[in-house]
Amino acid sequence: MDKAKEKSNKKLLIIIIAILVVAALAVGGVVVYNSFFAEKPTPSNGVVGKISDGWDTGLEDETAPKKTGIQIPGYGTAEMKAGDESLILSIGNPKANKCGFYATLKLEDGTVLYESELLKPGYGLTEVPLNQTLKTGEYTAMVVYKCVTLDEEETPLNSAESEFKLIVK
Amino acid sequence: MKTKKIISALIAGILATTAVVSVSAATLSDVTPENSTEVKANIVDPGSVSYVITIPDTADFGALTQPENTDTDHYTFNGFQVEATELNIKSNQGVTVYMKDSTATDNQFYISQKVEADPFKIAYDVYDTAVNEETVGSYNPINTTATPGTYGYHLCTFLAGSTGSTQDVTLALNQNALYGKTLSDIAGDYSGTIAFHSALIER
Repeated sequence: MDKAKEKSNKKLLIIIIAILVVAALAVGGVVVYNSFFAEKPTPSNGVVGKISDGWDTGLEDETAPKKTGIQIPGYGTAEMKAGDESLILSIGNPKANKCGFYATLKLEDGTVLYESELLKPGYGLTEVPLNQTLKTGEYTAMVVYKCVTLDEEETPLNSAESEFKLIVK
Repeated sequence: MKTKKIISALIAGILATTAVVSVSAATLSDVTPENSTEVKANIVDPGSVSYVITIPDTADFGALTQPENTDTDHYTFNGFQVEATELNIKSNQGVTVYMKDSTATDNQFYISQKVEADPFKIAYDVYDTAVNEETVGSYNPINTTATPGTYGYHLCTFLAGSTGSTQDVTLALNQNALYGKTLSDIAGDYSGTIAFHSALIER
């Protein structure tokens, strides 16, 4: 009788151990998947030249456009160090817009520092790679937003320039 | 008894492992949780967006009509507003706005035939207020009375605290410019674009 009971207990133990081992393997599998294979969140800030689809002006919730027209972002100042090859500047197309942007960063004298590809609504970048470095000083710079329709023709719409002071230390 | 101890130890081990995984996930996540409380301050970092203005899409007058005479003016109007959609600027600052024709070199404003190699151009006037057929004679267009600068004609300045305020603008095209022209030469779609320029200024 005791032997039979002991045998039964052993059988139960083996079953429970098997279940626990399977559970442990499942948990381990999830950990390994999350660590090595799961899709990482798309960074929206701090990557030079990286155009992300999560760009916003940072000023308000832009989900609901108030009126027709084109929203144009404007800037006060931007700062960088002499010799820097990138500039922290939030260039993008507000989500509320129904047109595309081609953005050009340039100095007042016409020197082009950066030209973007087509920026659809909600697309933009926050660290701009520069075509050339700048010496110490204060520059008048601007982002030229050339607006186009989102169809294949990319018909030109009204455009805008946002002027700002570029301080190079 | 021995069996129970072994099972208890195994379960405890599994539970401990699961707990560590949960804590690790919470610690390593770089995604801001939804519904979290965000502290906002009215400080604009260099390089961030300080303001947003809203401009019109196009300078579109719709279908034009060739007048039968030029005894009177035959205006068609396109009214719109430029809006200070967002202003996150200091109390002593303002956003000044200029406008000019995107392509003209004579400081005037035009719409021109699309597609044509040598397009027919029609000039129009710009008023920094809302005008119509009855009131157009009471105002002067900025392109004939104001002095243009590098970035065109000064349209308005939105001061700090005026978020949501608007500046009325009216484009007025006198269709008398079409009088006497051969229809086949001037027929077609016309369009024009305006370049707006904005800058932050200290008061």
